[in-house]
This record gives sequence, C-alpha cells and structure tokens, in this order.
Amino acid sequence: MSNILQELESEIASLKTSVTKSNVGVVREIGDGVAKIEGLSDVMLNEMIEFPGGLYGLALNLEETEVGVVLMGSGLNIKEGDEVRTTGRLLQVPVGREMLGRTVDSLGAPLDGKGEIKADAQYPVEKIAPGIIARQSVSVPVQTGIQAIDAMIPVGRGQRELIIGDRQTGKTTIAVDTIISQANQNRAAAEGKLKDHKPIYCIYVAIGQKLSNVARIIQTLENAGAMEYTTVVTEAASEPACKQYLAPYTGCAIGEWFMDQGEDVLIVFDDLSKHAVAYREMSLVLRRPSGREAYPGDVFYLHSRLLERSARLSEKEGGGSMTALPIVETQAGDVSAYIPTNVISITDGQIFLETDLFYQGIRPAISVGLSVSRVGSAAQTKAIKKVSGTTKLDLAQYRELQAFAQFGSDLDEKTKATLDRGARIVELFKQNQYSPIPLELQVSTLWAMQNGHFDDVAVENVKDCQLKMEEFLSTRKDEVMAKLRDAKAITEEIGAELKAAVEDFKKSYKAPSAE
Amino acid sequence: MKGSKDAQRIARQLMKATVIDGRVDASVVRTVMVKLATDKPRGYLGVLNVYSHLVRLELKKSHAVIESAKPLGAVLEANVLADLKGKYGTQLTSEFKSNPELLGGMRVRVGSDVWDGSVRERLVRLREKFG
Repeated sequence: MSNILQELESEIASLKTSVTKSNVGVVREIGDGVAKIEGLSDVMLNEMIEFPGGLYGLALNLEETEVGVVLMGSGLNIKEGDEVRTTGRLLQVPVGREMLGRTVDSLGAPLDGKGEIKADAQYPVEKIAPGIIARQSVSVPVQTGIQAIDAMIPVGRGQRELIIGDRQTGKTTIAVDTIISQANQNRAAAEGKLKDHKPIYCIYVAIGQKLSNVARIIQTLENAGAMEYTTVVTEAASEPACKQYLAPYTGCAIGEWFMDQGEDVLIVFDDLSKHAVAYREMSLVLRRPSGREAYPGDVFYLHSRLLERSARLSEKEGGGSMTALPIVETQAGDVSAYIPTNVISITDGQIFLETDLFYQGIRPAISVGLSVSRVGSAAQTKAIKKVSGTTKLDLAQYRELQAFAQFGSDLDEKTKATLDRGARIVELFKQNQYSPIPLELQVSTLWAMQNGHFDDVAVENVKDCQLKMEEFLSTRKDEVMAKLRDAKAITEEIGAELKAAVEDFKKSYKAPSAE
Repeated sequence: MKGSKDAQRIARQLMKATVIDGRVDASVVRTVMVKLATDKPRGYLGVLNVYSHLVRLELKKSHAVIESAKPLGAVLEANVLADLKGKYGTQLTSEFKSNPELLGGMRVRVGSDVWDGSVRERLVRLREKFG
C-alpha cells in the first residue's frame, strides 16, 4: 500500500513543475479517412499524430502549408478546427514471445479476447532492412511438408518465395500447410524426435480478407496445434485502408524481434495484391499522382522495402532468419499484370498455381514449368536432393510428351515409359490439405518412385499405394525412418534398409479392387 | 486552401517577396493587393485567396496567444511578453485571453508551438500515466 502511495507521490512530484512543449495543428479538412492539418511545423514523415478522443493518425504527406494525415480509426467525431498534436514517435508495435498464440491488429492490440499482451519490447513498424554485411546466404531448408515443393521448388530459411495464382487455387492452403508443418517439426524437436532442428515460429498476416476466412484459418491452426507457435496479424476488409496498409509491416516487426534474438521465423503475407489496393486507395485520397492501373509511383518500393526485411543474418548478428511467403492473386492467370511482375522481380522464386490443374484434381495445383526457386536448392537436404534430382525434368518431359501423345497412339517404348513415370509422379505429388508429410516419408516414397517400385502399380492406385506405404514405414519400419530423419541423407546402409522395407511392403500390398 | 497550380505558384512567389528579414512586410502586402485588384490578371482571385492564406499562416508564426485561468495583471503580462520576445524575436505580437477551463497555470501558443503549464494539462497527463 505504501509503495503505491510513494509511486503516486513521486509521479505527482514529477508532474508538478514541468511545462510540456508540444507541436500542434488544426484540422482544416476531413473526409475519406484523411485529415488535412494546418500547422504541425515540426512533424516527421510517418509520425503518429494524436487527435482528440485518443484517435491516432499517420502523417504521410508533408506539404508546404499542410500535412496529410491518414486516420487509424473512425474519424466521425473529428471536426474542422479540432486541435491535433505531434507525438514525437514513429509508429511502434509491441513484440516478444508473448505474441505467439495471439491474434492482433496492425497496431499490435489483441483481438482474440485472451487478455493483455506483455510485450518484451516495442519495435518500429518501418525499419531499414539488414545490409549486405549482416547477411549470409541461404543454406538451411524450410520443410514445407508439401512433397511437390520440397522436392522441386525448395524453400530455404531467409528466402522470399512468392505464392501466386488465381482465386480459389489453394494459395492460402500452401501457406497454412507450411505453418502446420513447422509446428509439427517444432513439437517433434521439443520431444527429442528431431535432432538438430532449430524451431521456426510463424506469423500469418491477413490483409483485407473476410473475417470468416481468418476465423477459419485460425481454427485450422488451432486444430492442428500450430497456433502456439504462430502469431496472426489481421486487418479485415472492413478496416480502414491505412490499417490494412500497415498490417504486413507490423507482422514484419514482430518477426524481426525473433530474428534479432537469433531465432528463425516464417512470415506469410496473405495477400499483397489486396495490400497494394489498400495503398492505392490511401494514395488516391491523399491526392498523390497515380500511375499504371492507378497505383501510385512508389508501389514497387512499398513491397520491395517490406520483402527486403526478410533475411538470414550472419552468425555474428545472431544467425536468425526471416523467411517470407508473400501471396499474390492473379486475374485469369495473368502473371504479367503490374503487381505480380513487381513482386516476382523482388522475390527469390515463385510457386505458380493453375486453375486448370486444380480442377483436374491435381492438388496442390503447382505448375512445374512456371514455378521456380532461385536459392532454395542450396538449402535442400542431401536425401531429398538425391531422390528428386531429375523429378522436375521428368515432369517437364511428361507434360511435353503428353501434348504430343494426344495426336497419335503409336508410341515407342521410351516415350511410353516417360509418360508412365510422369503420370505416376503427378499422382505421387497429389496431397490432401492440412496434412504435411515429414521429410523421411517424402524421401522414402520419392526413392521408391525413382527406383521403379511404383512401376507395377496402376496409375489410379499410386496414391493409395503411397498412403499405405507411408503408414507401413512410419509404423512398422520406424527405425529406418528415424535413421533417415537423423542423417538427412541416404547412406549405403540406409539405402539397403530402405530397399528392404519397400520390398517388404510391396509383398503385402494389395491394390483396391475396382468395383 | 487549394487554388490552381498557377495560382499557388504565383502566390508563393509573391509571398517570398513579402517576407523581409523573417517577417511579413505590411507595405508589400498592400502593394500586392492594390496591384492585383487594379490590373486584374488572369485568375487573380485565386492568387489573392492563396496569398491571403499564406500571409495568415506567416503572421501566425509570430503571434503569441497567452491563455490563463484568470486575467494575469499588467506586470505579469509584461514579464511573459518580454520572455517570449526574447525567444521568438521582437516582432512578436501577442494576445492575452482568460480561459477558466485551464483551472490554473498558463498556456502559450506561438505558431505551432504550444507551451502548456496549465493544471488541466497536468491532470490529463496524470490520467494518462495511471490510465
């Protein structure tokens, strides 16, 4: 009790004599979420401006006689002549380990009703990306748990891999699967089942999405037990454009804290097309000159400065990393539109999803020809590199021959074999949503495919055979799987044991009868 | 206050000529007004509007508004004004107001700068600290 009194008295004493100096301005115009302020002679760019009633705004346009401020909330109670003041601080958000498992808005305020967040620190929303000296090259993989990606378009820690495709092609599913896979690996490592695994914490940033979609994703993450390693930053479609614009930077700031602690982070921006639209809206109401497709001239910088913050820091800097999976939605598969080309040029590769493949039942609907990972192959584990070396080529040849084969039935043996192998690989890469596959099982089935163990299985039964093989290997041949998991390479010994295990399975495998 | 781009450009140029030694020269303002009103060049109304806005903003920079809960008395007013002129220059104009909402203390505004030593401000800060 006396402590509280002392605290109160000391606070009052500190306030007694001081006179506060502030820089103020007067609201001249307000509308469309933007206020024009006269005065504010000392304002900084991106500084937070305090309005009456505890509302804050962001100073984005500094002109000769007025300041354009974007409001971060409803400005219904603000009127002409109201006095506003500078705060002397740039926008900062709470960061720290307590953010895990929480859903917050772009100002870091909790939205999940789980109480206050005790932040470890406050990080600025806008920050200059780490320089060249502070970085090291990408060399550690992010196991997405999606076989097609891990085998053909590998992602490394610190990489920026774009997920691009039309609406309803499974872009978010790939991101959510990756988050679930990280949670599974983190849990396995914590239980001692996965050696030398550095946990990856995840941040999912939802920009301009329907609240029902965000709620569904959070539920999926909770059901999969992934939420405890994840922070969700969300600004729904109903929020002001300014808050939607800030959301990815807030996510980035939360991720940077982990990176600065030497930890690894995965951040998903879902999606940057909506982010660009929010920024366009803001720029238009601020009367900034518009360019192509009415986007402002700095829309490239908007995304480049965000994605450049993803990095793998050198050991001297703590060795942390931030891997980014930005998502971009295309219209009718047009990758040459403004925002997609911008983000493609910024990122280190893209996973392109095709509507046609999706409706053919090939899910994830990854277009092998258009998808690429520019740095990820350096991060692939030896085991997966060994078994997937020629897979991308096999699939590309298959697609080419498939087009030819439609015109004639007389095919030579080699062509037939290529077509058969291709059809089986396509089946092998089909995968249910929210069920990431562990590395050792991916390697085993790819090894079996490469060594012809699927050749005598009818194409329509390949998936069934694969699922049963995975079950057999994980329950009956756990020792071999553990060795593979630890070594992350197919040594002679492991190869022999794997061969025996697969042959063992094949003896007992019975294809489902066609009814 | 938005005029056409031309009006803004011309008004800015006139404003540059109006500010001499860091303060608005009243004779130049009068000359500009008379010249524009008599010659009536194209868009002169727009130019005048922007110009008057700029002059008003410039004048505000050297005008102090001193608010207190009750009238200060001649001696105190003179002291406060002397202090302010020492800080902002001798051209500073002033205006004393009484504002009971301040509860006590004083609030001085010069341009965008506000020095607030009022009881109301201290109570607000106290509320924020314990909020």
